[in-house]
Amino acid sequence: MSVVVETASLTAEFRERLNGVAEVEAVEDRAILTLVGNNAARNPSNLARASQRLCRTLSGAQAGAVLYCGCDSRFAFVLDSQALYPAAAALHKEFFAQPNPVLFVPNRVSINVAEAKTTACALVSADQVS
Amino acid sequence: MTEAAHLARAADAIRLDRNISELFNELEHVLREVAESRLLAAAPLFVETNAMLRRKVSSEHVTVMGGFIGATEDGVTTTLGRGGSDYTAGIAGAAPGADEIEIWTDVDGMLTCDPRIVAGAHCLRTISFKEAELMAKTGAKVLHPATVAPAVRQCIPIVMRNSRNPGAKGTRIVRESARDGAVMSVSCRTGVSLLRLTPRNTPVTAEFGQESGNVFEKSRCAARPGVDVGARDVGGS
Repeated sequence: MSVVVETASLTAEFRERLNGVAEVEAVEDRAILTLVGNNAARNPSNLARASQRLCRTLSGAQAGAVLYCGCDSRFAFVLDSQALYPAAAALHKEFFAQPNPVLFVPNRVSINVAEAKTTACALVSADQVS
Repeated sequence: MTEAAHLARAADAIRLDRNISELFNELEHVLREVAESRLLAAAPLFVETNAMLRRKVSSEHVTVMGGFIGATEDGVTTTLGRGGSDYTAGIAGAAPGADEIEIWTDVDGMLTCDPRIVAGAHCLRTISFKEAELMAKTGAKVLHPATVAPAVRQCIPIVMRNSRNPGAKGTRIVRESARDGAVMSVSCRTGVSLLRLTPRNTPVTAEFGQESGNVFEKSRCAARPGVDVGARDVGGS
């Protein structure tokens, strides 16, 4: 059985109490990535996509991740905190690479990138014409 | 920051508030709270607070008040803790049955991920109370989980707007989810540890779960967001 706790709560007293009922292996310096959405955890496609994307993204010492399904509307991965940034970016790309405009307003950074690409295309086209 | 420093800052804030209280409604008497455990995280007495707010707030005039600070039944000034200002807005909006609660902050709304971690996060147009609460509990810092609760009870929509970008429509938090079965956000939280528990000489049973659960409860290490039982490893490449 495994649980996740805030590292700050891992006091000597708490460990001692826990050791009284079980052998305890504590892996510190972890991070949690939680995916939230109404009934998102009931959709097996979400779980498969997230797991596969993480498998492709993480490697070496960062490879171990643990999947938790907390409730119907969230599931989470516990992983090495060093892997947080690449893992978050990978999962974000997996689910939000092409945001549905009905549901999301694309970030201004993304809009600027898109606008820059459009401008670049326009310049290329203008060059080709001239 | 030490507790003493926190108290000193709180005291400064309280003095400041008292200086301007003649201009604003008497804040410390509007929110009546009781400090159940700590000065900096008091829990509201909803019956008394709501009754007082209904008396003081009406649609006939504009009420201006600060947030975060309240008072005990004895009149001792206290605070609501982290996210207390938004929480105050939730309480003050829900008590008189507002049509809508607007929270003006410094981002366009609730995002698909923390923009400090993932560049290019998108703003959600609409999410449900449940999704907003889960996002807040699992790491989204833009909204405190407690803020949503008073609005949920009365189904009052919350709208998060950006004071630095007032043209943006923000995120509307409502009763129903916009899309069932879809992932709406990726929340991040650091500073956690994974504990693998193996029962001594017995299989994992319900009794073992109960016994270890008691240890968590006694140590006040109660189930927090993301603290779930039952896991499987996801292999990496």
